[in-house]
Amino acid sequence: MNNKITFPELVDLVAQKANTSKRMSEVFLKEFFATISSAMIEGDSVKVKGLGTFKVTAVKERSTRSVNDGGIITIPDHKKITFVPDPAMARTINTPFEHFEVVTLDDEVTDEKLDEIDKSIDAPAPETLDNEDETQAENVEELVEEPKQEQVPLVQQEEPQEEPVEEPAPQVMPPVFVATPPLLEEQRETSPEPAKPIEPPTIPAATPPAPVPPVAPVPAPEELPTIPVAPPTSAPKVPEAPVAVAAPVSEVPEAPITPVTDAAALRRSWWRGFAVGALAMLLVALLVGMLSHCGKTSGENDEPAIVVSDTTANDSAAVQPATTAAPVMTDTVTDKKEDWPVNIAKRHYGHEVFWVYIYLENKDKLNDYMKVPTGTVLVIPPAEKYGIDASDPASIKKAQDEANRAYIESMK
Amino acid sequence: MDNKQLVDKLARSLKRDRNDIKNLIEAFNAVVASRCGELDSIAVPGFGTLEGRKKNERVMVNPATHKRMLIPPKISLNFKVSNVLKNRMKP
Repeated sequence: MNNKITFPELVDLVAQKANTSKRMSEVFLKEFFATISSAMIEGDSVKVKGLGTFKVTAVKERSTRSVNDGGIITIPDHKKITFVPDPAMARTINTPFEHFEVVTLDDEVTDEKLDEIDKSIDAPAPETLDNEDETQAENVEELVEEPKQEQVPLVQQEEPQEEPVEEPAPQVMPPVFVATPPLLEEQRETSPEPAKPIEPPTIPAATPPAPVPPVAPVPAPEELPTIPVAPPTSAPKVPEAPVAVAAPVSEVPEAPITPVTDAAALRRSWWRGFAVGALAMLLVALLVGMLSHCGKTSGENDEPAIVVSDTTANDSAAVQPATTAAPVMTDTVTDKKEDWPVNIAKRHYGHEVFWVYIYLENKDKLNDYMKVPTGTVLVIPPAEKYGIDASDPASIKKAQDEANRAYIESMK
Repeated sequence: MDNKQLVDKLARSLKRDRNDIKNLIEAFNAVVASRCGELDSIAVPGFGTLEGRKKNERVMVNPATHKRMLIPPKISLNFKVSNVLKNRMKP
């Protein structure tokens, strides 16, 4: 954004796009601009299809005051170049804002109200900017933290709750896989980039997903004394990020009440939260252990473990049907560049007008209707939730109205 | 000079097929669309700068009806003539 592209860079870009040599591209571009310039110098307007028109207009002689001494000077008649972009080009460039329409304001909306809106928008603005900077200035460190940051707003509460939510994740996962295989595939396609730098330290964590459910109840008691090990729990979270996010996200819209009450109870007893988090941690460790030792030791721990895991099993039982009933998809913007909500909507729903629903689901992560910063995990609501149908004009109209309403809403 | 004349002229001076020239112009347009759409600017020495600019939303009053309207934000493509070319335009 706001980069200046120099001529050599332009040569490279055009050569790439046109699949020709840099030499050819350079010769062409030089000749291209030279031809246009010389035509304009002769007073001829030049129209380039798909780009726009360079118009040469005559300006009449006029007199004006000199800025320096206040005397009257005359500017001789001369020619001026104006550029009018091709309508197609103008539309392409304006893609991000294409779906806004001019809205007539009601009489009740006074200037004072608008001023207030401006102030309220100005106030939180720096905050969101900071966030954007953070995510954009992705260091490896931040990469490690980032998925966590994103989880927090989703779960809307502090760590103790995050951990229990974490814990059911492996159990919830299999149904999600079954429900939306293509999407998860897509997630993997897009997500490996941030995950890569993190993977090395947590290679064991990568293995658990498949055989997890049977092992889950095993390890708890051993964990309780090993609380000092707890900090690393944040590590296994990371590689699972796309999956783990999928799980808490699905809870929020569908069954918001149960997790919250559970969480309240859990928050009162912090140790239990730690125990559950540690359980998830040991799960990973034990699995690796079992793979090598064929798990004799795990048998000893079985009985007391079940007590702890039962409570969490109840929690996850409440969660599970919700997730299977309405699989919530997530999409991670992990390309080199940021992406526009409209592009994401086009990918998922087949029409960019539905970006508004993505916006509504991810209000806290988006700002200014502009780009989605790299690494953001977005919730993609299921098409049925809003009656999204790209082939239905009524649905498109509805989305447009929704967009206008959201737009005005954001002004308030 | 319209697009056809421009393509013909370039094809002759570069001794290339007209389709090649068309492809190159299209590629240039694609670069402009993608980069200026991201508010970057493309500077061509001796010619000028093509630049995408974001215009913020604003409230406008329709002079006929006195209704106030909210104009949405917009990204527009601007061209600024370089001084070199401006000077060469002088008679």
